[in-house]
Amino acid sequence: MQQPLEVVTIPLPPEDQRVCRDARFAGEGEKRTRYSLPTSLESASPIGYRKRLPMTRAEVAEVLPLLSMERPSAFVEADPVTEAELFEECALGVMSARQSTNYRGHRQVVLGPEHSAEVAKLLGGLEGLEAPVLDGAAYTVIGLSRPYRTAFTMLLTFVGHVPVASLATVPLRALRKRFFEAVDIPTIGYLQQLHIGIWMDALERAVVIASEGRRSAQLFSAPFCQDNDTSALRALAKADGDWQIAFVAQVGQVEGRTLSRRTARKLGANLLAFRSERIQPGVNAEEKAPPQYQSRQDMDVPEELAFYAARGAYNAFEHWTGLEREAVKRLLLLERVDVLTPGGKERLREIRKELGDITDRVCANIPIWADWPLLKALSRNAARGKKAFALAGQRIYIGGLPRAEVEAAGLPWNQAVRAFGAAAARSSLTCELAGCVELPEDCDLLAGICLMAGPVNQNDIGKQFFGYQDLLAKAHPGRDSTALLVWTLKAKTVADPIGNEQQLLDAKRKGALVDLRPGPHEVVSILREGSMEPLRKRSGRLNTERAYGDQQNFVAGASGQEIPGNRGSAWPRPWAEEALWP
Amino acid sequence: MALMEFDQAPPVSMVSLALKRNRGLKPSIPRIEASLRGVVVRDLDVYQDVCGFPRRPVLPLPLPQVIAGPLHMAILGHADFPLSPMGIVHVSNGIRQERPIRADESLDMRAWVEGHRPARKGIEFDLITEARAGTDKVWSARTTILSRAVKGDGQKRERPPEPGFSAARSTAWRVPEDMGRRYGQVAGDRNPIHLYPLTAKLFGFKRHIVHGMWSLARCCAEIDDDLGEGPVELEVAFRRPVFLPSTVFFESGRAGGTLHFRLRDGRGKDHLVGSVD
Repeated sequence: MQQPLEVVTIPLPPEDQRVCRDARFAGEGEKRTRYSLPTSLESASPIGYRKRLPMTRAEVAEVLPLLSMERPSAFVEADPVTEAELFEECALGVMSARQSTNYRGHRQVVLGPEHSAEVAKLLGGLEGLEAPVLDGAAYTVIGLSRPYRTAFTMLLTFVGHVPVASLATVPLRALRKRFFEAVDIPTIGYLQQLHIGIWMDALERAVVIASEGRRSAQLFSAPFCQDNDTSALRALAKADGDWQIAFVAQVGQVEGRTLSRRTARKLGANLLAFRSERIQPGVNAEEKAPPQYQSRQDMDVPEELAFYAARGAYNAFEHWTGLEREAVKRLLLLERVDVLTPGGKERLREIRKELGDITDRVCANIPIWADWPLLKALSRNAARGKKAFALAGQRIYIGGLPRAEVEAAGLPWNQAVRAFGAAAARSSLTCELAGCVELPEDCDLLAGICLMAGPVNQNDIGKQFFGYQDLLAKAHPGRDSTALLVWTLKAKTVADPIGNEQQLLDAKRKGALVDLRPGPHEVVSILREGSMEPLRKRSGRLNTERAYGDQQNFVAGASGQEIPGNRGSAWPRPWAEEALWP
Repeated sequence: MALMEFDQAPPVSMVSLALKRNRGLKPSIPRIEASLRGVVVRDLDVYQDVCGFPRRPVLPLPLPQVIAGPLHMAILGHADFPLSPMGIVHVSNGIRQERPIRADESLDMRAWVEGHRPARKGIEFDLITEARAGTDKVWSARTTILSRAVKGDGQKRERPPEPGFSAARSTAWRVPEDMGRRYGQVAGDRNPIHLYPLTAKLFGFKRHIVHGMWSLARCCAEIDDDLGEGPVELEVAFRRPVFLPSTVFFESGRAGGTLHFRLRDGRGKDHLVGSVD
């Protein structure tokens, strides 16, 4: 059984240390920097530049059961599902579940009740189902995924080459990647699975939030981590090329679950705002950064928060693997690199040095014949990683799994990696919600968490090409550990609504390692009346609605002036209120 | 007074309009009236698609003006109309709709022009249009046009102050390169300035521009949910053309019971500003 979570309140800093981002537009004649508010936003994404909303203890207590939900046991007769409900569900699911590496590697197909019955039959024929297939689904979500490919994976093609023979080894590796889906380093392959896990966990919650507690999802992931013939399902979802079925979620109406409209909408708006970056003032800030970034704050992550973050993680791992609690605790490997406890700082320095050394070796080994014609883009990209891998936080956890033990427990490795991704996401959500409890007006947040894959990817490069040990090997000797993610917990009051987000929303500011946030038409298709329709692409119009925009949590300048295009515009009511499968 | 009555939409010849000579005002524009009886809208869905309206069996607010387009052209091309239609600029519009008009309603359209007033860079005149369903006037509009065929009085006129409103909608649209051609096909207005960069250059534009009535229709599609079922009165001023392709920013919001809207470019310059009561 998953364990209940409790509301954690973060002690406020002294009044003279309370700061918030207070982002502003560049003044007349002033040079814009990455810290200035953007002049406009043109995006079909439902997210936009958002800020966190304060939540009361009672509201957070109402939503915490969503972090230890059990599976539905039956569906009851369903009300018609409106287009707007599906849009909000997708906004909280496939379109926002993942953060900066939001590559176009995931999309979903939504099937109505008739096809859902067909899917239920097909599911019944698969091996390894983790729960009973239910009758009476209102609709079914088929999650599709394909291998992770970005500028970073291209860079990896050139890493670890054999200098003299590089003219042959690099192209050979590129061909293996292109035609045999070989991955350069294992953790890059695992990223795809981690993201699926994060998405599954978000989708399960999104179904409840978007329907204000009326619907629930029965999600099947395990059969798609094993050898099963999924060709009929792929044909239904019209999945071609390298798109594979990641999971299938039956969504139906349930009884006995409640979530008030007011809380559901505030939570929805906050989940979108949690995308924005948390800042640790006084650490790693550039000189040109705003003054709020420059002074350290006397705030510590309470032990209680770390405890419930871990409980959230164990809940999710248990939920998605079906293992007993004790097995979960044994398999989920964590190392606490805690600057608040003795020896923590030294260990952190050691890790930073190791990652820095690996980066230096990568830069030194990139073949000149490839780097120079690309105007040194490869080596610049590799060096840029140093900032991305910088570990800053008060309580840092390195998490991973022992592969041999996972497989000995009868768990397919990919399923375990997905469950690990879900665990990380759920523990993050525990912290982010705590960061909004009784949030005063002069703070952006009180606590937050960063989930990073960068440090473990960099460590993996070291493991594969330069003989380094796994990041978790020291804390868990002899466990065949594979580090998968790093959590950094922060108790701070500054959140940057622009930062990374601008790289994800603005094509002109797109970062080298990230992809743009998609619009619904790009990642969601609905099968209706025999044809596959993109969500929110009609009559030449694309989505301009920001989900949960009624909660008014849009970023504005000091005088209240908003970013043109950020607020969005509600989708036409006749379309939004349309029943998808009347 | 000249009166033209049609029982089907008169053909529009861009060539004859282009060749029409400018005779100057002696002393003003005479009353010229044109009417068209029994119009039932066809291709409503095409118009709705091009302008971004949901498909519904009611006429979008600006659509009767499109139906009246051939009447307007007939008036401007009439022998008694003293000015060359070339180079005229649609500067503003007022539309009043008494009630939503069902798509299957038969409409009698009537349009006329009479008189003018001086403007800074020419003269302005109004084309008045009415749509009746049976005996009920259901829709009427004032289309204000600037003609530079006659010298203006050079006097700068103060614009009414810009209304302040906080935006309830704020969004960007990408207007595609072919929008002038697509809307031109639906509206029957294939003025070369809306078609291709080259054809627009022949008339002094750096690139082709979208029809002002498309911009207005697209704005109306955005605020369609905010308009009630009762009488609606819309005022719009066209400030700058939208060159194609473009990204434009739309904003709308209420102030003092009036719904205001505007379309701007990326530098915050207005393409159009409007209000609905």
